[in-house]
This record gives sequence, structure tokens and C-alpha cells, in this order.
Amino acid sequence: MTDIKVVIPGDAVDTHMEVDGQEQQVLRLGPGLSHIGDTINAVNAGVLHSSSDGSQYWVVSNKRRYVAAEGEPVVGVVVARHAEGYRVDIGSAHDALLPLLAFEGATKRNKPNLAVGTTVYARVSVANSLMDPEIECFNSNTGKAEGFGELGEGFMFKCSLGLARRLFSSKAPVLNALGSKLPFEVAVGLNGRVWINTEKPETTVLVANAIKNSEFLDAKQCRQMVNELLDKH
Amino acid sequence: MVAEIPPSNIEAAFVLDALQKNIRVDGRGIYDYRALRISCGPAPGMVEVQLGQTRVLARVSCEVTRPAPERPTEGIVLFSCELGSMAAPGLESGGGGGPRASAQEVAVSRMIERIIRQSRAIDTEALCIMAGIKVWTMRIDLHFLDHSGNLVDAAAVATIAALRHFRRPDVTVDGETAIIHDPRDRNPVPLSIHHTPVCVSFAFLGAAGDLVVLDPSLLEEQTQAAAFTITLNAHREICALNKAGGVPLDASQIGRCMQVAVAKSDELIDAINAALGLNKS
Amino acid sequence: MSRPDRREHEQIRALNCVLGQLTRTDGSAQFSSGSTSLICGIYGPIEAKLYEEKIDRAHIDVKLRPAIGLPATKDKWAESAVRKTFERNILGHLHPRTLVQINLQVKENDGSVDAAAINATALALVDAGIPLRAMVAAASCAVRKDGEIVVDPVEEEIKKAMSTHTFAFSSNSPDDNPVYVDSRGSFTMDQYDRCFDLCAMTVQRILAFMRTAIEGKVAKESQISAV
Repeated sequence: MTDIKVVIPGDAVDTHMEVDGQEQQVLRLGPGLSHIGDTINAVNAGVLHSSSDGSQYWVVSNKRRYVAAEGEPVVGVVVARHAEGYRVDIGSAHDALLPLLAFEGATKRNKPNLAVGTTVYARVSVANSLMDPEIECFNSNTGKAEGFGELGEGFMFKCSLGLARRLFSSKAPVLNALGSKLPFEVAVGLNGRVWINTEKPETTVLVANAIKNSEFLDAKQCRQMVNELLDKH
Repeated sequence: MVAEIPPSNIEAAFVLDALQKNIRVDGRGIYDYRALRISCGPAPGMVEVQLGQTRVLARVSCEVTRPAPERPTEGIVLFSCELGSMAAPGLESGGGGGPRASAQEVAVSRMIERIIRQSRAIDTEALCIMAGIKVWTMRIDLHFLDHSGNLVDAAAVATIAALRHFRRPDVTVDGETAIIHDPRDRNPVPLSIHHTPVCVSFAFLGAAGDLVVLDPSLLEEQTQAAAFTITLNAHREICALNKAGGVPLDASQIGRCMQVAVAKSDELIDAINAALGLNKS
Repeated sequence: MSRPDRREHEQIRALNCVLGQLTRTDGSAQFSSGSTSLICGIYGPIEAKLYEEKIDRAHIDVKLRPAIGLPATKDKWAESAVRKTFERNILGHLHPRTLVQINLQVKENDGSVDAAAINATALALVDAGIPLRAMVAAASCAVRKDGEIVVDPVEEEIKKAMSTHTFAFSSNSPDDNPVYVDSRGSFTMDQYDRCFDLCAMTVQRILAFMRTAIEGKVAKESQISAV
């Protein structure tokens, strides 16, 4: 692993933009960086990352409050129903709008009817700082649900956005460790909400607590923790 | 800012489903208390209590004032309870009983006031310096820092521990004049506390309130059908009972809760004594 | 003349901080300098009330509660000190129409509480991941009756002081320009300049302390996510 560069707000980031002696024309700044005055500054505390060709820089940091970003999967709770759609709490500053027809196979006559308090798994389709976010429960290109939609029986809990991001990757050690021992369903929202379902409530509680405990554990510690929990189970 | 949204339907349903099998969402048994941590000091009368993730800070302070005319020989005890946006998003504090105080803030503050004042935990006559002229006014400030369920139990422990931890300046009365000694000249003295009341809270869940848990978490409080708090002291005397509204409960359940509460109150009082540096009595 | 706690004139009290110990807030920090101690809990960016909503930037709301008694003028003053220090430092235009709510609870006030409030807020903002132009830290000093200047004064020293001064600096402000200045009492320009220099030097030490604390937290999180 290469050395980790930790930045805190106000640190100037040195972006060497030369590749093969050629100066890069375009530099892309990701989250946590901002162009202030003549320099590029970190605005969040985290680990600085860059693409191998030095044309992209971003800071990986951990937060608890979600800011909607286009294309990200989220777990939300319906808080109200309006004529044009549902208002869904996704943990961001403003509630998201879920249009009535943004479901697989929904038509004007035949569309899902969600009660207030229903949990949905959806993808952010519109997100910018000037508008309320919009979400949809299907892929608008294919018209297929692709796993999105209402989340039925099960349990939902909150975690940090950093943990949610790690769980979302297929290599998440805690999910692999759990998955090798027992069957469970999981839906990870990048807004720091995780939905799980198993056959028995005791297993659900075990899986939920194992995931919550994994916040500060590495792969080896995760396996150990899961084994300890299973022994007690 | 919008108030906190209630738990989603699946969360509420799961809490009940699991409880049918005696399973709690955080993995505890139904009569398990969360870990309790009491930190005293550095200032006298400053105690921070952590019950699981719930945090409460209590500060006790005093000043010399005139007594109330109808009670010339008694000191005054004031309470101020602060359950604001520090503790949970969307909460707004009335700032010590103001008109904007939330129902929850009022409920907790009344409960604490009742167990300390009405159970006569503080010897108010010992706070008298010169009858009708000078008495000590005690002030108890409770600050809720993190709300994750069962504020009352945590606040009760913090309050009584802070009162017992507090030291007021020593006073000498010489005829018509009272001398208040600087803490650096003469050691401050502890308050005269009659007993140590602590609260033990239960939540009843389910439509009929037939599922009982001790020390409810936030999610359990949000889904409860009724709440019940028993206040006991070290002599196993009941100081207060509180069941404000909710579904009617079976009387036999109250008896069972009482037995659990007696055992738990002993543990809480031992924890307070240990934090104050006293040995088990 | 020695100080009540036998410190050197230019010596600050022991610093301590804990990041992210509150679970309900989006970010939190406890900061203490000796026995002066505060806890700061932050939400943001969250939904703003309609009348607070600003079309082009986030609204910054600061609430400070004293350890004992109800909020008084000095607590309102500390609130405004924190708000004025951070209003321009938070990159509020990145989150328009939202609210950043800063809650401060004084746990113990033994002098220099305004500076400690600014320091606690800076750490909590970083913990919450609110975008900041730079790190900010503050320090106080007092000019005693004998003309000596002492840094990070305790309550007893402030009561007896001729004047007290609080300065906040940001980690990348050009030429050591302060972002917040508060001077009270009567003093000469020479005394002011000496206080300025002493606080500027002290703030550098506090900023270094903050950096270590934040790097520790980030390292703890990143070491795991790198696996």
C-alpha cells in the first residue's frame, strides 16, 4: 500500500499535472477539494487520493449526514404522499421526491400504493444543491426494477456514510464473513442506512449488530468478531 | 427544522416481532440494563452519566439568597432541565421550563423534580443560614447531551450523584453576621442528603402492552404503548411511581416490574457509591 | 508575581479533545483547556426553517448553553463570536437553502471560554464533514495590573485583569491576519501588539494540536477502509 496522505481543511494540495512531460490540460477535483484563490485546498479532513495519471484528485472522508448525489442507491422512508409523487426521507437536508410512476411497469392505472412509513430502496436520479433531490425505483433506461423498490419485512438501521460505502463494495469483509456462515438479504443505501432480512429475528439482530460493530475493524478482526457472535448465537 | 420522523413501519414491526421471542434489537435480554458510567468532577457537583449512548450532564451550584417568606427556615431548591437540539435533531428546549418546552422536556423535568423535592431527598432546613434572612439556594442544572432512550433513569442518577458530590462553602454565624468561608480557607461541606432515590424505567410494547423491557432504547421508546417508572431508594422504599397514560397494564405485571426494579436500584446505588469513592454500604 | 495555577506567563493549560463521541449529532467534539471544557454538537447540512432559508448559501445557527443557569448576555456574546468566526469560513455556498446548526454546551467555565468555544466548534465542524475554507483556532490572553501579559487566563486572572484579548486565526490566512478579535478593558497599543503576537503564537500550537487529533481520527478510519 502506498503512503497515506491525510489532509485537513485549509491544506494546499500539490497537484503535479505533468504526464510524460506534457502538462495536463484538465484537472478534475472530486469531493473534499475546492479551488480557492490561486490554490487547490482541502475543505474536508480525510485521505487524499488521485488517479494514476494525476488528472483527478479527491478526498475520502467519513460523515454522518447524507448529501444526495446522482446515481447513488439510497434507503428511504416515505413521509407523505402528494398528487405527483411520494415525499421520501433519505437523510439529506431536503426530502426526496419519488414520482408515482418511477416503478417497474407502473402505469397511470396500475401503480404501487405505498403507505406513509414504508421503506424503499431507490436510486437518486436528480441531485443538485439548488433543487430537492429526486429518486426512482427502477432503471429509467431499461424500465426494469434491478433490485429497487419497496423493502418489505426486515429491519433497517443507520450507520456512518463511510461504513455504508465500504459495505457497498463487494469486498466488504463483514458481509463476506457473515455470508459464508448464514443466509441473509441486504440492501445498502449510501445514505448510511442498511436494510437486512433473514429467516429469524435473532439472526437479523446478530447480522445488524455485526455490521454496526465492524465500523472500526479490519478484515481479520471482522472475521473474528463474526465468529465470536456466532458462537454465542 | 423538521421534527424527528418516527421509526419506519418495518423497524416498528421488527421490534415487536423480535420481542415476541424475547429478543431485543440491540441484543440485550429483556431485563438487561445498558452499561452505566458515572464520571464525577473535576468541579464539585459536576457529574456526567452515560447510559449506553445516552448522556446527561448535571451541575449543582449554590448561592446565598433571602428565603421565601412562607418558609423562613428552609433553603430553596431550583431545577433547570435542558433537552435541546444537542441531544437529538429537531428538539427545541424551552430553556428551563419556558413556554416553548417540549412535552418530553417537561415530563423529564417534572419527574426529576418530583423524586428529589417531594421525596425530601435534600434536607432543606439544613440549608438555612439565618432564619428569615439568609438561606442557601441550590440550583440543579441538567443538560442532556445525547438522547438514545431512557433519559429519566440517567438524569436521576446524575442528579442525585451530583447532589452528593457537591460541597458548599462553610458558614459561621456569629450573632447577626454570617461569615461565608472561602473554600481555600476552610474545607467546603457536603449537603445533608436524606436518601438516594433512583429511577428504574420499563417500556411496554405491543397493542396490549404485554411485552415488557427494562431500560428502553430510543427505538423501543418510540414504539412503546406505555411507560412505567419506579423510583426507589437504598432502603427499598418506593419514592414515586409513574405511569402517565398509555394502554392499561395488568396489575400482575407491575408486581413483576417491582421485583426487577428492587434488584436494579441496588445496582444503580452501588454504582453511584462507587463513583463517589465510597465502599459498598 | 506567579499565576494562580503556577504556570509560566506564556504557557497554556493542558489541551484535550475527543471527536465524535455524540451519536445523534452529525459531528461532535469535546475540547478542554485545563478545567475549561465545552462540548460541541453539529447538524448539517439539514433543512432550514423557511424564514431562515438563504437562497445562495447555508444558514449558520449557533446555540450556546452555560454550565450553570440560563443563557445570559455573555453567552449570547460567545454565540456571536462563534458565528462571526465561522460564517465566512464555512463554504456555505456549496449547500444553499440548508442549515448548519452548532450546539455548544459549556461543561465548566474557568476562563477563556470564548476561545475554547471557537476551538471546540472548529473540531466539531471537521468531524461533521462541513466544508471549510481553513482550520481556525483561537486563544485568549490577559494584561494584568502589573503590566505582565498572561496567556489562556483562568477566571480569577480575568477578574483582576486590566484588559483581556481574544484572537482567532485561520490556518492559511495571509500575513497572520486574524479572523476574530475581541479586546476588552483599557490597554495601550503596545500591549495590544504584544497580546496579538502572543495569541498568534499560541494559536499555532493549538492548530498543531488539532491537526494531530484529526489525523488520528482519519488514520483510524482509513486504515480500515484500505483493507
